[in-house]
Amino acid sequence: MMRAIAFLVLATVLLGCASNKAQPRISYYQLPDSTQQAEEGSVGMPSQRLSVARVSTSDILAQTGIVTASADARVVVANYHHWSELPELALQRNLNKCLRTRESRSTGKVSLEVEAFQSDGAGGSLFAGVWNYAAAAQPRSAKPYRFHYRQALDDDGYAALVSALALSVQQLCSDIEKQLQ
Amino acid sequence: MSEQGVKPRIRRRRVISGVWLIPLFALLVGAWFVYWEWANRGFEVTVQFHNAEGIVAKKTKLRYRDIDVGEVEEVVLSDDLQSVDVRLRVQKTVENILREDTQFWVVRPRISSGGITGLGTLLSGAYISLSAGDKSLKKHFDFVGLQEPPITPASVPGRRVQLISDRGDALRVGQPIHYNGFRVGKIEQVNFDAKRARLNAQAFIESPYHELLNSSSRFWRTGGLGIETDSSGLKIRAGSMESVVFGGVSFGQPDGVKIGKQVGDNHRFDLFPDRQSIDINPYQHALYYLLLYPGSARGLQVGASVEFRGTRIGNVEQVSFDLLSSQQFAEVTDVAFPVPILIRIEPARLMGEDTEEQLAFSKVALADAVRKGMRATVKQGNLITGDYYISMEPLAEEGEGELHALGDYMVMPSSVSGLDKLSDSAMAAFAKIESLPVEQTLQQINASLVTLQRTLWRTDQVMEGVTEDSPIYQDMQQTLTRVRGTLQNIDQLTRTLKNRPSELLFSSPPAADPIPRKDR
Repeated sequence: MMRAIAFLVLATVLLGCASNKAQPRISYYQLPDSTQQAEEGSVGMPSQRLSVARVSTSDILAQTGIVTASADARVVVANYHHWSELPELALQRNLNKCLRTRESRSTGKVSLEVEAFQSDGAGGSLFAGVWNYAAAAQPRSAKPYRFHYRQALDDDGYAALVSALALSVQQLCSDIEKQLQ
Repeated sequence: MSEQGVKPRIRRRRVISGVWLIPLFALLVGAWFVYWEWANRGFEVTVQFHNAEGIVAKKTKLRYRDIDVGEVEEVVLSDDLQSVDVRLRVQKTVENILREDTQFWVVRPRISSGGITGLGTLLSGAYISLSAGDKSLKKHFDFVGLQEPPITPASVPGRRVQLISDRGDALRVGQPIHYNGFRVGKIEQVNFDAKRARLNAQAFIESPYHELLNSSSRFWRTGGLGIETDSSGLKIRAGSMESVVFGGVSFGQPDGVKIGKQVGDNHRFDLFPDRQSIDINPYQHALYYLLLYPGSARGLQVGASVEFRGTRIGNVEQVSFDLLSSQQFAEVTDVAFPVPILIRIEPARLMGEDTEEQLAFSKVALADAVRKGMRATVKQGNLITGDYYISMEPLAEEGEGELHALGDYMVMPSSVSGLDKLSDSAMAAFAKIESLPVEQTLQQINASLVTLQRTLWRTDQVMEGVTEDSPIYQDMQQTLTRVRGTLQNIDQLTRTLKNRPSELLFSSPPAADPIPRKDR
C-alpha cells in the first residue's frame, strides 16, 4: 500500500515538472553612471570632503524588482526586470561618485531618504524624497532638503525608465552641490 | 455768887512754836530740790573709745542733734588698758534712743574726701555725738564708740549692703554711690579681708532708692575717664563730675537680665571693676565644670563662648594644666592626656532668672542631660579667624555619661569634635598612604599605563576601521541592506504561499510586467 502511494506522489511531481512552460527571461539593469567618462584617465585624488553616508528607501523599493506605478496609485514590482543590485546601494555609490568629482567647498555627510524611484505611470520617471546634510563641524544638526524630479521617458520600456531615473540622480547630485555652495 | 465757886479753866500752852513751821517748810523745799536734782540728774552711760583725745571730764558734752543731752563725768582707763571708758551722765529725755545699735563718736576737726567736718570744735572743743537707735531693740547703756563718725546715722532709712571685690580696689569711706548718675548712697565702711585677699565694703543706699536694689543688681566702680578707640572713632566714657574726681560706685540692672527679688540688709554683691565687665559677664550665679578634653584645644581662648545648640550659655574661664594637682594630673593622664578646660555656665542666660533656686535646678537638669548623652566639644566658630568655642550637644552615639568630682571641680564628659575626628581619620589615612610601597606601585602603574596606552592605540586603530567612511562600516551597511532586500523577498514569498499554498508544488508563471510607456 505504502509503495503505491509513494509511486503516485512521485508520478504527480514529475508530471508537474513536465508540464511547466518555458519562463520569460529576466532582465537586469544597472543604474548608469554619467560621471564614468569624466573619471576616465584621471589620476587625481577624488574629493573626500562631501559624501553620501546613508541611503534609505521605502519598503517597496527595498528589493531588486523595478517598481512601476499606474495612474490609479497602484504600484507593481516587476518580475522580469530587475536592478542589478538593490537601488539604495546603487544610489549611494552613484551619488558618491558624482559628488567626489565635483569641487564642493562643503565638508560633511549627506543622507538620503528615498520615497519614490520608479515610473510614475504617466510617461515619466519619478525620483523623490528628502536629503539631509550634516556639516562636519556640527554632525548632530542635520538640515533637510526635499527633492522631487520627474523625467519624461524617451521611449517605451524599462531601459528608457532606467535612463530617465539616472538623469534624475545626476540632477540631484548637481542640486546638492549647488545647495551646499 | 461767891468767887470761891468759880473754878478757873487752865489751858496748856503749846510746846512748839509756830515759828518752826518756817524752817520745816524750808527743809521740805530743800528736800524737794534734792529729790528734783537727783531725779533729773539723768542716768549713766559708759562708752568705750580707743583713746580719749579731746575728751575732758566735767567739760566735754554729749550732744544729740547739736543739743546738749549729757556730759562726761569721768574718763578712766579700761581694765585691760587697751582703751578708755568714758562715763557719761545723760539726760532722761534721750533714754528712749539709747538702744543696742546706738552709735557714739567723738566730733573733732577732720579732713576727708567727703569734705572738712568739725571745724566748729576748733573753738568749742571736741564733743561726743550719738545717733538714735532702733526703738524696736532693747535699751542699752554700755557702748563701743566709733573710731570715725558714721557716714550715715543708723536712724536714716535705707539699706546697707556688702560689696565684695577680689581686685582690692582703693575704695574709700564716703565715696558716693550712683544710680543712673544720681547720688543715692555712700560707702560707709571699707575693710580688707587679708585671709581671702579681698575687699569688703559696706554701702548704704538711702530711702527710697533702696527699692531699686534687687538680687540681679550689679555694682561697679566708676571714676576717671575711659577712652576707647575703634573703627568708628574715639569714645570717651565719664560719669558725673563727682565720680570723675573722687571716684565712687554705681549700681544698675545689666542688660537682658530679669529684675530679681528685693534684698535685705547685708546682702552681698560682687563689685565689678567697670561696666564693661558686667556686660561681658552679667550673671552672678554660675556653675563651673571641668572638661578633660581628649582632643586638641589649640585656638580655644579664655573668654570663648560656651554654647548649647548655638545659644551662648557661658564662657571658658581657664585652659590650663594648672587646674589639676600633680596627683590629679597623674590620675587623668593614666589613660590619656586630656586638656583641662574650666567652663562657666550661666543658667540665667537660658532660664532668665539669676537666682540660687534657678542655679540648683539647672545643676540637676545638667546632670540629667549628661546622663542622657550630652557632651562638651571644642568646635571651630570662625574659619577665617580660627576662633574656637565649646559646644554642648546631645550626642546619641556617646551613650550615657555622668558628672564626677575631681578635686574642687565637677568633671563634665567631653568628646572630640567631628572636625578633630575627621582630622584624625585623615591623619590615619595619610599614615596608611605613607606606609604604602609607593615606588613599587608607581612602577607597576607606569608599566600598566604603557600596556594601557598600547591597548588604547590598538583600540583606536580598530575603531578607526569601523567609522562611517571605513570599508568595514560600508560593507556592514551594504550587507544589512541586502539582508533587508532578502527579507523583503521572503516576505513576498510568504504572502504568495499564504494566498496560494499550492504554489509551492504547482507554481504558475508570474504575470508579465507592465511596460513603462513614454508620454504620447
